[in-house]
Amino acid sequence: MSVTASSYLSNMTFKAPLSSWFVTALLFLLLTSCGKLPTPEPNQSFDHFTGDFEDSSLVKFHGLIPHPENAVLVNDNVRRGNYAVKFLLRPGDITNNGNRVELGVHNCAKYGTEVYYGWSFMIDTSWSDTHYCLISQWQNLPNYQQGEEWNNTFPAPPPLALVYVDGALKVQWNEKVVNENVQTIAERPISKGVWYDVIFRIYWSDQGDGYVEAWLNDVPMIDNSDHRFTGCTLYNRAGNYFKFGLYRGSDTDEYAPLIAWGDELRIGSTYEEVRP
Amino acid sequence: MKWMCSVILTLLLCTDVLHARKIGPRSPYKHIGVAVGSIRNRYPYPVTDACFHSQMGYQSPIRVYARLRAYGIRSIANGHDYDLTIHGCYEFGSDSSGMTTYAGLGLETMIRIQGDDRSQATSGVQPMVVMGIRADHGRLYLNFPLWTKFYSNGISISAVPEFGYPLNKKFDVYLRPELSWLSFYNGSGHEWRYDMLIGCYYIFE
Repeated sequence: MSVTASSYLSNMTFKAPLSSWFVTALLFLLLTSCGKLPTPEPNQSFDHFTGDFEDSSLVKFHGLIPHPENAVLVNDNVRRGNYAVKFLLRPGDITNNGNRVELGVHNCAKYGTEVYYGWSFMIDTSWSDTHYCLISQWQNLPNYQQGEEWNNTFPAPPPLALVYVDGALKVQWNEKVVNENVQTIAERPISKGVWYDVIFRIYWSDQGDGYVEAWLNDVPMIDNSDHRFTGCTLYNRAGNYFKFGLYRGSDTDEYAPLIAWGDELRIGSTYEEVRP
Repeated sequence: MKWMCSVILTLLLCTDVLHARKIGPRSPYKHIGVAVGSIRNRYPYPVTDACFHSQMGYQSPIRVYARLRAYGIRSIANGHDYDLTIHGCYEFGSDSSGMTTYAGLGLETMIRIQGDDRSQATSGVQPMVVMGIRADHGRLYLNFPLWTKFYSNGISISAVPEFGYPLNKKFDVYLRPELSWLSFYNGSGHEWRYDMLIGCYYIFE
């Protein structure tokens, strides 16, 4: 037998009246709410950043540096100014579960923000490895506000990375943690021993309205009519953070040491603000 | 997301059918349970719940519920991230078809003790209002509360349906797909979030 909602309510048997303490308690609770909604608000301010190493220091960065010799300041091979950073990566240089030397910048890839990133890099002429190597990446974060942390985060490639492999520079994108499907959205051949400038314009979103634009020496890298790739750029709303340096994964292969240089990192709101 | 919304809408539309099912008198039993989940929005993430619910007495219409949610594989003991939810509900009783409705108030305490300097999570306490229905369908039962939580900068509404099946007199198993809508008061945006948990109750007097 089917019963309509209205007849259900009219037939309902109340065991006791709704007492006044109930309403009082409700008002009290509403007035005393003090926690914050556990999701990031869109379009928050982000940290504009200059990392040109002219202060002869790496203290601005969150370093993932296994040994001091893996990231050193140099003044004999710079893109501009007096200092640059020289990265050295060897088999066995392991930190944070990876064969890496990277400099990280936090609070620069927040949900619902559009951010420009610019920096310069050079691959050393001695580089003979044909394995992929991430020379920069925007790494996802656990959703801390919703209780997540790194220890339990499902391992996955970063949502966005700039990869050097066998003479080519690739922009690689991954949409989901599960059903991993890394795609190359831009690729250009590059030469060793030459400084290159890269600029990215990214809108950070976990929805389909995220986008990526990239330039190599002021020439668009993405080969479509608007030079823009559109898709999710975040796994969640915790945002990403930026790292540059060398990351070769968790492989333990033997390979000849990798050397690269970095300089003129800037993070900001316009192309001109971050242009190396 | 779409399939989750479809399930909930289907449940609401099927209310008339659920009405027709007879459920027993108010239970004197208490439940303790544990649930685990691993699917959260677009990626797997382990969640562990330990919960207790009961009524105050056999003739009392007041029920109490407490749930400790921990995040992570070693989560119950890691001491970092917990949600403690406690509420009391007034049970309005069954209609002629045996469906029970209830409403109540409670508090949720978010505990976020992160050692990671990338974290901007904060702990907090927020009040909540609970409204729900419970109905039986043969041996299956549905307990479907809506939790509305009031934060200082927004509100969340969570559908927490629980589809249970008694294995025997002492144990129930249940599936709980949770769908939450989190929205800021200033209109700057909202987020849909879902979790999927499977759990087991131990029932005792």
